[in-house]
Amino acid sequence: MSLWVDKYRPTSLNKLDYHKSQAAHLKNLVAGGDFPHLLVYGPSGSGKKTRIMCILKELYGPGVEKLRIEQHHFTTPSKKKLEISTISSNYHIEVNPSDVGNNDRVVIQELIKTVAQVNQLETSTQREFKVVLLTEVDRLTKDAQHALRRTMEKYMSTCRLILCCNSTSKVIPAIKSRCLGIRVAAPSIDEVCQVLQMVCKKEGLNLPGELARRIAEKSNRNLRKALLMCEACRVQQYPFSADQTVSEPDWEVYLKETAHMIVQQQSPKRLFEVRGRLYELLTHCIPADVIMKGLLQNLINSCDGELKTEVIQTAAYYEHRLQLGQKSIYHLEAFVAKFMAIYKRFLEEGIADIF
Amino acid sequence: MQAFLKTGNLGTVSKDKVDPGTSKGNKEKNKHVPWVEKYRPRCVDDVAYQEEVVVVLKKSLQGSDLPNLLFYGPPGTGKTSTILAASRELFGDMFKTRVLELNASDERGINVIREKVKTFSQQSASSVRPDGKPCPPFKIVILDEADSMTGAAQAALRRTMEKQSKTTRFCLICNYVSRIIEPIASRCAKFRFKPLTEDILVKRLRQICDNEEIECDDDALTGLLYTSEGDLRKAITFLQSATRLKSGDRITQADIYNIAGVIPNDVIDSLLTTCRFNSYEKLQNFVQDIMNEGHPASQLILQLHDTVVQLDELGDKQKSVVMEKLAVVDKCLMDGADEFLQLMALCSTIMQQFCCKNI
Amino acid sequence: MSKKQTKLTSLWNGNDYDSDDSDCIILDPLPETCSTSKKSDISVVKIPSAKKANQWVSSAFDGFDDFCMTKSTSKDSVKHSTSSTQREKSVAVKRPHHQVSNGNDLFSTKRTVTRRTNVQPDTSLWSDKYAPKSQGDLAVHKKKILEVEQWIKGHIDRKKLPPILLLTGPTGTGKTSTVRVLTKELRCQLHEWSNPLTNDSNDNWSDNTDWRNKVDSGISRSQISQFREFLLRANKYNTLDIFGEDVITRKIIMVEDFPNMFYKDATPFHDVLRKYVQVGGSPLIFIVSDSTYGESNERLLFPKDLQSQLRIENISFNPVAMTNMTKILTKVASEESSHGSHRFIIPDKCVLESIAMSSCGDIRGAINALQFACLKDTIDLAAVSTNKTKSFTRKKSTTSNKKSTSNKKSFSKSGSFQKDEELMSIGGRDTSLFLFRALGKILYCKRDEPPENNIEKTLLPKHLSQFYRDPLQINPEEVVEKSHLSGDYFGAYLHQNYVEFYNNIEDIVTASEYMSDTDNLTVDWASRSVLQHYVVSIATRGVMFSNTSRAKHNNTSTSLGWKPLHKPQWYGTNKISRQNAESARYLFRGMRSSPVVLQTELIPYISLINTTLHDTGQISCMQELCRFSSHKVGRYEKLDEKDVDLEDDETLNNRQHKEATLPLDTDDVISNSQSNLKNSQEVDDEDDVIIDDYDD
Repeated sequence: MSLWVDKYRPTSLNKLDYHKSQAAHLKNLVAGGDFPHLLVYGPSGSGKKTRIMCILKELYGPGVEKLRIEQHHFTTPSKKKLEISTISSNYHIEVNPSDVGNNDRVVIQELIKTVAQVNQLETSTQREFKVVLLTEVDRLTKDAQHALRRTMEKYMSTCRLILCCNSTSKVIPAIKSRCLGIRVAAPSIDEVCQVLQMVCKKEGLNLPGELARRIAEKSNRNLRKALLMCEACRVQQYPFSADQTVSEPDWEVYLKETAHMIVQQQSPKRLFEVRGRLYELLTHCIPADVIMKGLLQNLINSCDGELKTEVIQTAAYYEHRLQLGQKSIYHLEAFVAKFMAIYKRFLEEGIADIF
Repeated sequence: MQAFLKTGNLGTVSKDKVDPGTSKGNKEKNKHVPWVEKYRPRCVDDVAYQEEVVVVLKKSLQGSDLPNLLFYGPPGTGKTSTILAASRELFGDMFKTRVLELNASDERGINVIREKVKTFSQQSASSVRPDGKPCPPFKIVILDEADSMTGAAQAALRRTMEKQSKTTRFCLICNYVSRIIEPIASRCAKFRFKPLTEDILVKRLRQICDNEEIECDDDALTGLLYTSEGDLRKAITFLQSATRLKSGDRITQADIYNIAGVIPNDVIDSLLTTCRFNSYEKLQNFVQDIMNEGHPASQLILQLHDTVVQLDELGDKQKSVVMEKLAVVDKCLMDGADEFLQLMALCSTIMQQFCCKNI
Repeated sequence: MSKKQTKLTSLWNGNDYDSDDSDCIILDPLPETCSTSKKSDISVVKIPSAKKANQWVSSAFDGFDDFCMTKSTSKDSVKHSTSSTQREKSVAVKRPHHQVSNGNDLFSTKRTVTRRTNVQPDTSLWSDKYAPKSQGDLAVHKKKILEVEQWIKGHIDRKKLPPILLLTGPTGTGKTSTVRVLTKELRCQLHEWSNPLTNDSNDNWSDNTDWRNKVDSGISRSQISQFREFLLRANKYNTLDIFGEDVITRKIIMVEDFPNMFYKDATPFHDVLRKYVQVGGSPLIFIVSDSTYGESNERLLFPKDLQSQLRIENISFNPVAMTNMTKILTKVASEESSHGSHRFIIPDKCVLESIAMSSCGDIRGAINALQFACLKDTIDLAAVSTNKTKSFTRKKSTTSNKKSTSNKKSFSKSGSFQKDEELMSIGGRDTSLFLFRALGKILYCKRDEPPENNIEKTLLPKHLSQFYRDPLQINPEEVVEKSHLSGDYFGAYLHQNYVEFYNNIEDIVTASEYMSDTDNLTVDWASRSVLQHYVVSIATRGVMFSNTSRAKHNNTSTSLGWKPLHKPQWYGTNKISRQNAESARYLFRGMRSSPVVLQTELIPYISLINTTLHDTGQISCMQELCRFSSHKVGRYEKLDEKDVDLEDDETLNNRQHKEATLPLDTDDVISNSQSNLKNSQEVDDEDDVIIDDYDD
C-alpha cells in the first residue's frame, strides 16, 4: 500500500491540479523542441518534482517511469572514495549531489560527463539529449555551482539540466542566467482543499469541508504535508468529523512541549533540561534550522508585540550562525538562553507594572 | 556571403521559425540558434548606440590597422558584438582562422593563455584574402570577461602582448576597467560602452518581435526594459524564453516578470502596507505567503531596496537603519541563512521604523 | 670560574680530557647561553682574564670542526654550538651513570655549565637504594596498604578462581613497592614479568633481507606467547612446588610491564586472562599507571566488562600526601648523609617541602630530585677544596635564594601556575592535568584577592564598573594546554558543563554568546588551525568572565559544592543523527525525496499512518526516528576523573560513586586529600572511591 501522496500524484502535464496555465506553457516549451536548461524553484511541497516528472514524460513518453536505483562510485583527486545513489531511467538520471558534502564538485562534473558522453541508447526517440536532474541545487557549494556552469555549456548538445531547489537565493547568478527559471508557487488554501476532496473521493471517503480547510491551513499550503495529514486523520478516526484534531508528528509535539518548558520557567536548570531535549531532537534527525524555526513559531506567540521584534531578530541572528557553524547546539542554546532572558525581563516588567 | 555581410541588415535574416507541430521528427540544427546569436550585429555600423566607438573603429578599419583594444562597460551593451563585427569586416571568410576568442568559462590560467596565444600567433598571417582583397596582416585575440582574470594572469599577459605585438592584436573585454591592471590598460585603446537608452532597446526589441512575428504588449516591453536593466542580451533572452513558453500567444508583462523572476510591484507595495499596520501577526502571515509563492528572498530584498530608498515617508535616519539591516540580511542570505527568518528580521525592522516615526 | 673554562674547552676539545663514565656533570644555571650568545659570553666568563678568554675562543675554533657541522665562523654561532654540544655531551655522559627521570632531564637542559666532581658518587639511585623495606617505610596511605594486604591475605590460600587485582594510580605512588613489601612480609614468593629484550629466534632473521617485518611480528608474537607461557607456567611450578617447601607455595604473580603488542590490540591479552582464570593459579596483580595523554591503558587493557566478568578487583592509589612525602625525604636525606659515600649538608626543611610539592605526589620522582639536589651540594662542598670558592658560593646562594622565594610563594598563596613552573625547574615533573581537573579550574573560576592599591578598579569608569573582575588565579590557556586537548574539544566539554555553574540566566546569555562566537570563528577551514588558540581563549575566558556570581575573590567559595562533570553529548548526538539520517536515506530511497522532507515529514507521518512496511529495516528505522522519550532528559555520560580522551565512544558506566566534598581551602593539599579519605571511609566503603580536591 502506497501513500496517498504517491498514489494520486499526477503523471502528465494535462492532469495537474493547479497552475494549469503554467502547465500549458511547459507543454509549449516541450513541443517547441528547443528545450533549454530549467531551474525549477518553489517552496517545499508545492509540486516541483511532480512537474518535472511530467515534463520528462512529455519529453520521452512513458519510458521515463521505468526507474532503477544505481550506485555510482567516484574518486576525488585526493583519492577519497565517494558513493552516491542515483535514480535513473533510460532517458534521465536524478541525483541529489548534496549528499556528498564538499566533494559535490567532483561528483557533478564526473556524472554529467558520463551521462553526456554516452549516446542515447534508443535512436528511435526523438530527442538527441538526455536530462540530468539535480535536486537541492541550493545546497551545492559555490565551487560546484561554478563547475556546473562550465559543464552546462560544454555538454549543451547532448544533455540538458533540470535544476530543482527551494529558493534561488543561494544559486549563483551565472547559473540563473543560463537557465529558464520556473517558479512553482505553493497551492492556495482552496487548491489544497480541492485536491484533498478529490483524493478522498477517489478513496471513497467523505471529507467534511471544514476539516479539509483546517488541514490545508495547518499544512501551511504544503500539499504533501496536507495529504499526509489527511491520511493520518483517516487512520485516526473514520468517518471524519469536522472538529477532529489533526494529528501532528511526534517531533512537533515534542518541540511544542520544549517551547512550553521554556516559557514556564527561565533558569539555568531549565536551560539544561531544554538542552537535553534539543539533543534528543537532533538525534532524531530533525535539522537544527527546523528546530530553530519551530521553537520560534511556538515561542513568539507567548510574547508581546515589542518583544516579538527582538525575538525574531535574535532568532535570525543565531540561525545565520547556525548555518555557518558546525556545532549547532551552541547556537540553539544561545538562542534559548537569550529568549529566556528577554522573556524573564518582560515578565518582571509586567509584575512591576501591576504594583 | 560577402554581400550578405555588407548589407548587414537585420531584416535579411531569414525567418526560420517552424511551427511547433511539425518540428518533431524532422529538425534542423540551425533552427534553435539563440536569438542573441541570431541578431548579433554583423557589421560595425550595425552596433547600436555606441557612436563614438563606431567612429573610431571605422577609421582604423579603413586604415586596415587596429591598436590593442580594451572595451569596458555594463553587460549587454554590445562589446563582444562590436569586436566580432569588426573582425568580420576585416577578415571576411578568414574570420575563423584569424580570431581567437577566449571567455571566462574556458580555463584561463597563465599557462593556458600563454600556450594558446603563442601557438595561435605563431601562424603566419598573409595580407591578402583568398578572394584577392587586401586584409590586415595580423590576428585578433579576444579575451572576454578579462576582469575575472587574476592579477598574476594579467601580468603574464602583458609580456605576451609585447612579444606578439607584430602579428597579434588583443581585444580585452570587461565590465569594470578598474579591475584591469594599469600596465595592460595603458597598452590598449580604451573604449567605454554606454548603457543603452530605453528607446534604443525598444527599437531593437520591436525589430525582433516583428521579425519573429511575436505579439507583444507595450507593457511587456517596458517590463523587459525594467528587468533587463539596459542589458540588451538579457532582454533578448527573456523575450525568447517568453516566446517559447507562450508559443504564439500574446506576451504580457506578467509573463516577462515571471521568467525574469521579478516580484510584481504590488506585492512589494502591500508588504510595505502590512508593515505600517504594526502588527507582527499580519506581517508574519504576509511574509509566509510571499515565501509560499516561491519568490526568492534575494530578489525581494533587491526590489525592497529600490522601493524603500524612494519612499518619502521615511526620514534619512530611518532609511539608514533599514538599509543597514538590508545589507546584513543580504549577507546572511548569501551564507545560506533561512529566508523566512531573515525576511522577518528585515521586515520587523522596517515596521519599527515606520511606527517609531510617529512618536 | 677559570677552572670551569678550562674544563669546558677540554670537554669539547676532547683530546686532553678523558671523559669518565662515572663522572657526574652538573649543569649550573646559565640559562641565556643558548639563546643570546652575546650575553652568555659575559656570564660564562664571569671574571675573565684576557688571556684565558682568548684561549677559550681559540680553542673553540680548534674544536669547532670536530663538533659542529655548519661551517660558520662567527663568534656567536660558535658559542651557540659549543653550548649545545656541551649539553648533549653532558646528557650523554650522565645517562650511563644513572637513569635520569624526566624532571632531571628538564633540569639539565636548563643548567648549562659543567663541572667535575672530585668524589666518586654512589652509583645507585636513591629511589632504589631506599626502596621501602617494611610497611612503615611506605609512603602510601595506611588505609590503602591495608586494603591490598587484606586482598592478598584473603586470596593467597584459596586455590580456586584465581583472583586478579588491578592497582592503578599515578606514577610513583608506591604501587609496586607496596606489593613488594607486602609479599615479603607475608612471606610469599613474587614472580614478576618483564618484557624480554632479546629473542631466541633472533638468529633466524639475520640472513633474511626483509628482516624488519620479521622483527615486528616475531617479537610481538613471541612476546605474547612468552607472556602466556609465563603466566601458565608459573602455575605449573606452583603445583610442583607443593611437594617442596610449604612456605614458598604461596606465590604471587605481578605484571607491571605489558608486552607492547597488547597496547595495540588487547584482545589476545584478554584471552590469556580468561584462560588463566580457567586454569587457575596464584593471585595475579596487575599494575597500571595513569597517564594524562593518549588512550588510557587501564581502560584499554581492562575494560569494565572484563573487570566484572573476571571479577578483577581494582584498588586505586592516590598521589602521596605531602606530609608523608616530606617525612620520607627527610629520612632519606639524613640516612644518606650519615651512611652514604660522601657527606653533604642535609637540605633544610623548606627545600624538602618544595621538592615534595613540585613532585605532585610522585615519591620516586621526589627522591630522584632530592638526590640530584644533594649531589649538587656535595659538589659545592667539593668545590670548596679548590681555589675558586667565590663564584660557587655565590651561585649557591642564588639558588637557595630562589628556592626560598619560591617557597615563600608557595606558602603564601596557592594554585598559581607561575609557582608551579618555578618549582618544576627545581626538579618536579611536568604536571599534566587530567581533563577533569582542568575543567574544574575553569568552571570553578577561582579569583585572587586584588592587591591593596587596586588601580584597575579605579581605572574603570563608573558605567563600566560592572565589568570589573578580580584577578584570576589561573591562566586558562595554560590549563587547556596541560589538558592535552584541542581547543575544539575543550570547548565542547566546557559547553556541556558550564550551565550548572551559573546562577542566573543573564550570565548564561553572555556565556552562550561567547560559545556561539567560538563556533563561528572556526567556520573557515583555511584559518581554523590559526584561530584555534583564540577559540580556546574566548571559550575559557568567556565562561569565566560571564559568571558574575564568581567575579570577586570572596564569593568564589559560595556554596557551589561539588558537581559531577559530563562528557559532551554533542559528538555522540551528531554521530547518531548522522547514522540515522544515512540509514533513513538508504532504506527509504525509493521515496525519492530530499533528506529534510524525508526526516521531518514523510517518516513521521508514515509512523502515524501505520502503513504496512515490508522491510523490517524500515520499521526499526522509523521507530528510531519517531520515538521520543518525554521523561528522559538526555543521554549523557559522567566524566570520569581520569578520563583523558574523549574520542572513543565507549560508554562509561558511571558505576563509580563519587563523594562530594565541599571545596576546601586549596592551600593545604595534604589535609584536603586526607579529609577526602576520611570522608570516603565514613560515607562509602566502595573500593574505587577516588576523591580529590576538585576545586583547586
